[in-house]
Amino acid sequence: MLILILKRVLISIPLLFVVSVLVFVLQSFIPGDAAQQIAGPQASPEMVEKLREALGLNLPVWEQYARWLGEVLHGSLGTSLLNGQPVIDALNQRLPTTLSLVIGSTVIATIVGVVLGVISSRGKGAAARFIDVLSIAGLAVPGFWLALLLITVFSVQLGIFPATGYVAFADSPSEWLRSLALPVAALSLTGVTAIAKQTREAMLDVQASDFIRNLRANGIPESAIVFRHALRSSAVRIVTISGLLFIGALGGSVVIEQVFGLPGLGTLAVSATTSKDLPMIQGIAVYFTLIVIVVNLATDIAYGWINPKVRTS
Amino acid sequence: MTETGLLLDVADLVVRFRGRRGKQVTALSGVDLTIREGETVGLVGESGSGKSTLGNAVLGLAPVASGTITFAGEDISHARNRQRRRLSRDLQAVFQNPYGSLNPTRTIGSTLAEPMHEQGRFGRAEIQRRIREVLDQVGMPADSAQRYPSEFSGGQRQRIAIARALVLSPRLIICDEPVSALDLSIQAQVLNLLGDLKRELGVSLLFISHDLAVVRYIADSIVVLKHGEIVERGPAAQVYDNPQAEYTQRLLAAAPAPVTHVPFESR
Amino acid sequence: MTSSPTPAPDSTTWIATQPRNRRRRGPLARFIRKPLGVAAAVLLLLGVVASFAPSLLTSIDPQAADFANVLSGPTAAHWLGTDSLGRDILSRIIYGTGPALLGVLIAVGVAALVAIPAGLAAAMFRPVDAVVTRLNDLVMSIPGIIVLLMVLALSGSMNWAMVAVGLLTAPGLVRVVRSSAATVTEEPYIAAARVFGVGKWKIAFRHVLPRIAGPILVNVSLIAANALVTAAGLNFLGLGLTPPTPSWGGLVADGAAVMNQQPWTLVPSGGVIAITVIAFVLLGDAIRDVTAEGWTAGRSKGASITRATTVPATSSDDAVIESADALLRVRDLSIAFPDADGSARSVVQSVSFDIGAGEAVGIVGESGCGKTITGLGVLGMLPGGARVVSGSIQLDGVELLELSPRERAAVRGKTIAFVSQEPMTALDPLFTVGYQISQAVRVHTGASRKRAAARTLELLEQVRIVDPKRVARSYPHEISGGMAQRVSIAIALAGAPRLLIADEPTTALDVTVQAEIVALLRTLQEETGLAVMLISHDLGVVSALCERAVVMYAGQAVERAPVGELMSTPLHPYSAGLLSANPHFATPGSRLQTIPGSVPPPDKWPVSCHFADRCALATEACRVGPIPLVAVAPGRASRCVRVDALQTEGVAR
Repeated sequence: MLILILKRVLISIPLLFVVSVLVFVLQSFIPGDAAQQIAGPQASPEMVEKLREALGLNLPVWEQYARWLGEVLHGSLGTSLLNGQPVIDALNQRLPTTLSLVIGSTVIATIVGVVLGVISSRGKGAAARFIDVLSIAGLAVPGFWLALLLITVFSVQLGIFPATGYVAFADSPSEWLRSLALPVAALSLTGVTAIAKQTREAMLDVQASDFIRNLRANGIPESAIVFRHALRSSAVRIVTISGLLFIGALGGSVVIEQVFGLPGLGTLAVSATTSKDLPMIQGIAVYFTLIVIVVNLATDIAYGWINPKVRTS
Repeated sequence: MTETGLLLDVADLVVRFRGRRGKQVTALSGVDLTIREGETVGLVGESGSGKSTLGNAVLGLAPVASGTITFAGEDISHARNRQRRRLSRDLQAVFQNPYGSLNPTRTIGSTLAEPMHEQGRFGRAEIQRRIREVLDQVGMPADSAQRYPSEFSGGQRQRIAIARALVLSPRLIICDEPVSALDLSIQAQVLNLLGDLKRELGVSLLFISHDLAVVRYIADSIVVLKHGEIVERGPAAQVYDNPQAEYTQRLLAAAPAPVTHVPFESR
Repeated sequence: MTSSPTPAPDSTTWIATQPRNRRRRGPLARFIRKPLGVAAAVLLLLGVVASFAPSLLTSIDPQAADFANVLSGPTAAHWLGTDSLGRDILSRIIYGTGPALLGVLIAVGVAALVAIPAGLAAAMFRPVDAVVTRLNDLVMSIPGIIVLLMVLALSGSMNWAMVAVGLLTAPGLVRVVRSSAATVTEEPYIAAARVFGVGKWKIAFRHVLPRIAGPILVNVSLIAANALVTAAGLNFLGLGLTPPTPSWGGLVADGAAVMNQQPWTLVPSGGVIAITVIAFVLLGDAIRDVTAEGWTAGRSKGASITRATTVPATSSDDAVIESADALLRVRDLSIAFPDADGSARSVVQSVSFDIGAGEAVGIVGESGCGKTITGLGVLGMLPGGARVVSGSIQLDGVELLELSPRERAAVRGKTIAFVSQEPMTALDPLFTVGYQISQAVRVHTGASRKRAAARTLELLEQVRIVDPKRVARSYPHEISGGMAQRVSIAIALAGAPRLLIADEPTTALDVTVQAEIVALLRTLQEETGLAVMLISHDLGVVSALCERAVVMYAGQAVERAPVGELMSTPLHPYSAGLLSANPHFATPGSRLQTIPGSVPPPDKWPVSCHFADRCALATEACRVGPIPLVAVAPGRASRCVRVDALQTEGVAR
């Protein structure tokens, strides 16, 4: 198992490399650059050129990349082209917001989804149809639209939750929770439905299997069959979907943060790409990739924990 | 060079598979086997004995690590597509699972036509005529050709699978557990069909099975395989009635025969 | 040559039959019959019209501002209202359809073109598999949203962004294609095609792809839905299609800006996205169903059976009473499944038998004869809505059918235990063998963890496992099939039951292992006085273990006899047929005696003798009415009116 984890970590290093190269190459095709952006439309070509030189943007792409890589090896991700802030600082400042949002929505989606899925797998006809309808709704209702709806109802009309803004956990845990309630809800709907459907299907598949029938035939109580045996067998599929949801939520957070005005990595990503702040984009890409790697690793560990076959081989 | 009437000659055959953690697993180690024209050889063994692997190696479905497989004087140990296509006129197969042996998305007609299409030398009318012919040979109505596999029972599907093997009038059919998934009364029907084909068409069979009683019934000679090696071979009656190898004796003793005329208490 | 024509239905006895080859409808005709699919198709067609000729659907210019009419709700002039500039929302939706659908088309096209060949190649060619899997993992780990933002900044074009969406969602489809194709390539018909020398790509597209069309279609419709929502999200952020170009996402953004004044503006923009997504999903499902229906035999609707659900004439089974102190006493047990039209389709009809304490009784017959259902009926675990229609099941004098579900559950494991056919799937793969046994021990005896652990080792020893400690620590995948079957038996013994129902307990095992398990069951029977109900198709196994046997055919018990007598002088043509079809008794080279045809499905069972259509001895008397099971000799019963003929003529052996 330990070897498996180590192997996974080793495989991730080239992945980070590939992603950073990809971002650099893509970026080099983008017409216009940060120098133009900073200098403004009125600036003379000479001024822009000077700025370009100062920022190192005149160098060939591979050399820019080599420089960046050099910085990475020194534990830095460079500085923002726009305001000179170290990229790492900017990212670390915003990371908690995004993580709260994404982890929160994945956890909520998993818990609510599993509960709904288990209940509907025990029920007949109507419960099944409810989940089917719910899962189509989860696909059909865009998160950002749901976010607007939630704001209209819970902020504008009822005034229960703030419409925008973020309060750090350290400042006030209760306000932190309130500021996250709507964004998390908006981001988790799709996840709830996906998990509920998968849980239901996995539970039904397991219930049809020989060993569940044998447990029942030999008098093992229904509660143990459902919660100990069937749910655990379904857990592999649930964990897979949860992992994918987490990664999906990372993408979805970009739009949701924008709607709720949350100062997270997503809003930063949008502003950095529009202003072509390359080091910042690069940094966000690295952070996102790292998060994905950690999630995949966690998924693998969970597989091993659930399934002895994975553990022993 | 070939002995007269010798159809299949497997010599010192070794088959290895890549197992878990990259370890090589030897499925067959140095197996020899011959089949003459019109002869039926029964290949018996338990799971993991390599009996199916031997059939698959002859059919090109398992990799030959060393040794040779000669069919009608031609080395086919490593035959690829083109050679296979030519070979398939003479060498055919019937597999165990009657539910998986036909493509459920195609009609029986197009399943039976495929081998002829692959040969590329049959006209449309000829193909239709041949399909009717083989369907009749296996006792299926001619209108089966327009239907899909899901409309047939397991026994009927196995007849159709046999019809597909017959379409190109082969000289040897590899039968890999062709009746073991069938109910007893259906099994008897299919065994009779195979027996008839043997007699009427003079086709050779390599009959692979775990069931000694079935093999003794259909085969002229029996080869017993254990852990990838041959432990005994000989004429069917001799192997069945007077087994020499300890393993064969154990196999025979283990197979519970329905006992007749013996009251329960006296055993 | 034994041809087996389908038995001609005799109109007097066959209550209802429907020709099996109902006429096949074309794909279009089948599609028309799916209202949801049709609605989705109509909607999307409308979308196509809107894409190519928006002016056909609306005469209002999407850019025409009407400042007198800003933020109006729905009115006669503006059906879906106007936005903050007084522009017609319906018109803007219609003009936004083209780019939205084009984007979906691009994303789906790219994903399908990349993923289907890649997934097929991975499933068919081993070396490719490793490459594809690696690449797939890599793409899945790329932060897609960053790439999208960059592509948009780079090209400023939504279409390139949608190409990226296609590429980024391809890995999911690759996985689906690869795993479903890998399952299909295991099937023997693929091997058969390879024997004909059919090339691998030809096999992939001709034999594999049509089989996996279902999951692919479902996944593609999900990709389409995802692409639409993603594009709308980007437009919502003001990227890609920028104002004043009408786009669905942009409409939501417009609405968001004014939602405090006029919340209605959010409804049409969000609604059109939601409806389109739903249309994609429903259309995908409908096409999948239509393709699959092309080759699966449909349940012939309307061929419902108006049958007399029970056959009262046979219920006076005077032939039973085998032992006065029977442990299990089954009388006139009839079990039925509900049919589509609500009537009952009986699968077990009026079955009676006794099992004495410590006795082993075999239930013999081919598949589809109702053996397993009978066993599950005794356990009180009938599947899929099946229920006991009539009859009685008494265990030690207690009527099981009168117990509550909870009370019946309490009988299981304690008095009646169960062992199934396939040992490798009989145990939960996620728990150790020891855990599974001790769980059963604790449930049935209330023992402490420690006591249960000790009892677990005892049970393992009792089923003759040599190294109980090691086996107890093992997971099911670490032990052999024979060992797993022993463990299953140990679990069944945990509650010290008096009756063991064993459903084909040796069928999946090798002959040598099979012999060991039969021997074990015999020993346990002798040691513990366990009664066994052995369900098997194998007369050999039954004769090795059982004193008596019940032969079942098409839902009925057709013969009951001591095993030895059954084998030497069968008194029902079906029992006789089964024996003579067995190659054990055949002379090599001679033809086997066969029973023509096959066991009819339950909806084709006549009221009269179920076997008559396959029986060489059948006469008119066999087809007039129900045949009772009658005592024909001491301890023997047969459901045949021609027993005399059978006794005098004998059966060709």
